[in-house]
Amino acid sequence: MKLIKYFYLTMLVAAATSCQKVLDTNPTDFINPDAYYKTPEQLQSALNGIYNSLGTQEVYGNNYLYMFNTNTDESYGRTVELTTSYQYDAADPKNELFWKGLYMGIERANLLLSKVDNVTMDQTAKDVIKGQTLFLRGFQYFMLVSNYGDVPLILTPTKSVTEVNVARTPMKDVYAQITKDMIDAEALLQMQTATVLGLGGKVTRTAVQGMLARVYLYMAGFPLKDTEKYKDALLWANKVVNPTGNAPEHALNADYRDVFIKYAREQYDVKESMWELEFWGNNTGGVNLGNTYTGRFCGITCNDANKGFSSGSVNATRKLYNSYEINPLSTITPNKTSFDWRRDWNCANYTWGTGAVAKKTNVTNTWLMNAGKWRREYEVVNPKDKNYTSQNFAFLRYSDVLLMLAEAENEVNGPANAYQYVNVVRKRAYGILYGNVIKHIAVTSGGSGYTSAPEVTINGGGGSGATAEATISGGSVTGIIITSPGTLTVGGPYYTSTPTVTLTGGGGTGASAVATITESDDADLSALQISSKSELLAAIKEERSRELCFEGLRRNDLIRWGKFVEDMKSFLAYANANAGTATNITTAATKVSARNIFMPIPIHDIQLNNLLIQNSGY
Amino acid sequence: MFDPGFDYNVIADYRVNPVISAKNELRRRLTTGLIANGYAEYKIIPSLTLRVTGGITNNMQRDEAFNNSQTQLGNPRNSSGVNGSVYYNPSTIWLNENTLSYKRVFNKVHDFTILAGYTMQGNKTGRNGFAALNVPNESLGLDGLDESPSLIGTSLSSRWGLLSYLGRINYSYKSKYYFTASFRSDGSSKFAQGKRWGYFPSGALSWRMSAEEFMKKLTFVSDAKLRISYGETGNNRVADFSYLDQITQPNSAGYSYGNGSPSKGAILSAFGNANLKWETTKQVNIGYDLSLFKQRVNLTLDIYRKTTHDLLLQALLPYTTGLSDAYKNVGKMQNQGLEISLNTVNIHGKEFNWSSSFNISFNRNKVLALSENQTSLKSPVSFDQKWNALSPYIALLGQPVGQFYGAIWDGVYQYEDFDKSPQGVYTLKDNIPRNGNPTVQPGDIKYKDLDGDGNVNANDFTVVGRGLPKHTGGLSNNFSYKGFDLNVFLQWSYGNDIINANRMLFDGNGKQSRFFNQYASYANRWQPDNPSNTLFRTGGQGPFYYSSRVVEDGSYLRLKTISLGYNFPARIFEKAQFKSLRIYASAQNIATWTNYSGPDPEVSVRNSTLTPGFDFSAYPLASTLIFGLNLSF
Repeated sequence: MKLIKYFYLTMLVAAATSCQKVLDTNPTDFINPDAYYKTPEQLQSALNGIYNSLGTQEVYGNNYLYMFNTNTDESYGRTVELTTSYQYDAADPKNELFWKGLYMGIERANLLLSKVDNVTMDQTAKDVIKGQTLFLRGFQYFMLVSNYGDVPLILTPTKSVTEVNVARTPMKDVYAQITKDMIDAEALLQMQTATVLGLGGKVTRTAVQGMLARVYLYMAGFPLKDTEKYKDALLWANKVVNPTGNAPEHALNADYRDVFIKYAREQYDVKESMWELEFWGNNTGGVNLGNTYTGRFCGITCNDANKGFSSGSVNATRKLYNSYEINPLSTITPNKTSFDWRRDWNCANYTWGTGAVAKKTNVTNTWLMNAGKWRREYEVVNPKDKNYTSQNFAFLRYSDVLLMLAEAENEVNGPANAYQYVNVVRKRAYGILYGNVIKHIAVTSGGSGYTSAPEVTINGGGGSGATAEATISGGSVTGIIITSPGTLTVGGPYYTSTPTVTLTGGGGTGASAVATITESDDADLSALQISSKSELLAAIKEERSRELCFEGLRRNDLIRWGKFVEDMKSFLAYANANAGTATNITTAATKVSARNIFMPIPIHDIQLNNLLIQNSGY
Repeated sequence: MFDPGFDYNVIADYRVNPVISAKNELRRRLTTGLIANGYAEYKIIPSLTLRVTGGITNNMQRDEAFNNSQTQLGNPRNSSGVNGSVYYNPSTIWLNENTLSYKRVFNKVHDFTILAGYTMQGNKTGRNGFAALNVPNESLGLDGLDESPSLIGTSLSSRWGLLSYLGRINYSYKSKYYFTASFRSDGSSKFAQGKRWGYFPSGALSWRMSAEEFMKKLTFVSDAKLRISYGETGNNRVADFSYLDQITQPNSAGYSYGNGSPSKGAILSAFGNANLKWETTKQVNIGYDLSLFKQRVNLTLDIYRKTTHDLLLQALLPYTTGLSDAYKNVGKMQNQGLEISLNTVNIHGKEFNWSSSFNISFNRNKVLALSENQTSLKSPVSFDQKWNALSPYIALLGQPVGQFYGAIWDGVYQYEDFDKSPQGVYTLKDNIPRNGNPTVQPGDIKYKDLDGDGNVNANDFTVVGRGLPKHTGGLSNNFSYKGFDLNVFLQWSYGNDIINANRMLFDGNGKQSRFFNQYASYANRWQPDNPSNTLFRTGGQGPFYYSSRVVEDGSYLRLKTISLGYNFPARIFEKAQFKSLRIYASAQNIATWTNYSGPDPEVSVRNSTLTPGFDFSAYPLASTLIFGLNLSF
């Protein structure tokens, strides 16, 4: 009996000591960071997470582009929203999400950077991962500093959830860190080029170089005004355009329109599209990696799911439309045709109507044209999701680098060597970068008896691919619109002499027309425009809008040129003087004030981080 | 289903008929379970008993949901299309208790019980299943989910363990003096090594005064007892692994290179807090139970002070940390109060009886400390994205938790607040502050500019109401006459406010949503010919802060229950084989007296210590009427 007692007691004590195991639970639904970042694959996965954060709805998936860059002098929102029309305040949820999205990505980068050096792996592969990570951290700080001014500069992963007070670091120190990160990245990414990769969705050597040019231009401009930095901008832009030692990586696509058609077609143009953010799929299977800006918010109004739904939320302004050079000889009414192929691409002169079946509907009022840069009708991913598109968004195009080079060169050395880069961009816009095309087709005789538009055929002249459409009125041909000026590829063939134009069909007779072809200097800036530094700068300012409209750059460009509020108020005056008095056109320009130079620090962080001080005016 | 007044192809209108939608939704939860318990007892010596118990509860809960094309979530205007989901949620809880108890009476008056032992508890939960979007054949219901082109799987499980050592001594002397002391130490797997253990002592003394000689003379006293106690209790309500940083690779964190299938991103999805520890509440209580006149009057009084240390909370973090929240021990809070309960038998007759029961509680809450030397802790409430960034609650040092925080509403800007230019432009007079918007028009909402800087922003937010009541209570009366019985129950709450967030959306359309029905008050909004000072003009919501405009007095008195029953006399069914027969009718929530404009002042849809009394889209309180019959054999 006694033995049994001892047996029980012993059992009890034994059980009591081993039962500590009850407390040793292990998680199975996540991994602890200490056990991660050990292999090249794991580092790559961590890097994927940083790219991912840039593409979220909060950042470039829509929020930044639509909410904060819709209303400038080149575009306006079809509906007035508090956020889009500069009426946001510190409690604005879109602003909060943007800030949150960037710092989320920075934390991911900091975490990876804190681990990358401890992993034993092939040094070249490691450099490529580290280089991309450094650049992405720098880029996200660049987004922060250019939109908020001084921001907390955090370069190590968060260690404690109780020590969270971090003061804002002065802008110039934030910029210094950005350029350091990017320059370090450039050294690590020497072998990572777009040509080798064959895709634009990764950070490459030249993407870093081009972005450094942008960063230095921002530093040289308002509000930092460190004008010495124009030299750095020039240096880095030149590394892309005029590299020493390497052949140039980049060149312009012969056809401006094709740059954007390629995004819709899921094709890469690594020569021109230097760094793009990749979006994917149609939001099925719980994988939501599409974006709602390119084509969806910023697209051509369409209610037809097969064509690709678009709310057409962003319109081009008449100011932008009128900034493109028109063909003075054009007889098309009410809007004369333009020599500049960018105009009718960026300012869509049609919509797909509001019905469930798309019906092309012409738009002639130049205040009511949708921003047409990204067109869902070219998309190839099927079925098309109503709200998400897989069109990639370009952070950096080669034409931007050319214009930055021109601007930096002009600031440092004046216009003499600078204007040529603007002309390259303009030549491509006119379709004449690699040869000459059809410039104009004049109706020499209207003929009579036409019941429908006759077919226009263009033959000879050494080129190919030109197409045109006739317009008729009162039985005779009144004008001819060139729909394609030629085969816009690097090799052409281009036109060397005037081709013959014939008009056939349409039930009438007697109409005839003659073509003229372009000359290689047709697109060049005028003598006046290149006559002085200030003239050329003014031309570059306009050219950037014509070339880069809706790409999320205009607002910050206006800010760095130092007259953002004045520019918006002159746009307001322009709108009022040019029949643009609808509230959706004028509200943003009316409401914008000096405080909008910076966005407000979100109230969420102000409340939780005792060291944060709000930007003035909020 | 849809409003025929609008052509969807012209204007996107997502509203649906809620009745049709509700009728077509499937929401089903099926639970199967197994509960097994056993114990063994062994008397080692007559006064010493070993008791081992073991129990296990296994549950499998299946959640089914299906939204066909006639529902809000599954109609063709919704990009998810017809959709549904099936999830299995297994859970296992096991418990093992091992105690040795020693019970003995010495000298017939010293009654001792001593208990010592340890308990172990474990819990495992999981969730497995999938959701399907754009289901092609809705007539197949759940069985057609696998035909969906878009399946989203879920697979997860988690677990925690708890180990406790405990000891207790009970001592009583002649059933007159009682003494209890206990001590337990709890180890929880939810905290990091070194922080797992919490130690919780307690002790209680009570004195049955009525058993003393001097009280026995007072014949009207049936029973009297004085109680004093002190106790500490612990709380480990945090997520199972909140002490660990978490890396996950969710679907949402991928990135596609070269148009390929997205490469998954490994991202930090939660911060761990290795310093987390048990929340401890220390309570002192003094109580007195008095029963008079052969227990016709029973009074219980309790005074208490509870101090909660290391309050556990999923606290917000600044986004600069990279994430938005983490569990923290955030501070120290005190509740003290008085509870009185009085039960009386007013009439005790042969046929008619009337008894009453009345209780009232007064509680005062105070924040004693906040972590990291903060002087205030603001808490947001998630109800509509537009206001997610703002915190309608604040906890201030030395003040109660759950106070409402926002701007003080000051009506509507009127024409006389402006100078009118010859062109007809209204400019705000210099001495009148802006509401936070850069420009203000007549008819816009107006707030008080507390700091006098000419503009209302976050610096002008202040306490605009209290979420906690000053006192609450209830009164119940029971009547019986012959076979009839009647119960009438009233309850109240006094002194608390409610934030009626419904009004943020429906009283002025501050979000400027299209197709958004409004309260009738909208008809009386400010218009040029109707200078209302209660509701701003259309679009005049300004920077739409939480403000005293939507904070309302939530005090109420409610007639909660009336129930009437009749017990048939036994003689009626003597010959039948049953023992009793009763019929009854009972009505709930019959009437409420309140100044609160929402449907139910008892509301708190985001209830937590820090966020009481928030009303948004609460499920309406049902008034119910029940008829019943009880028959026992």
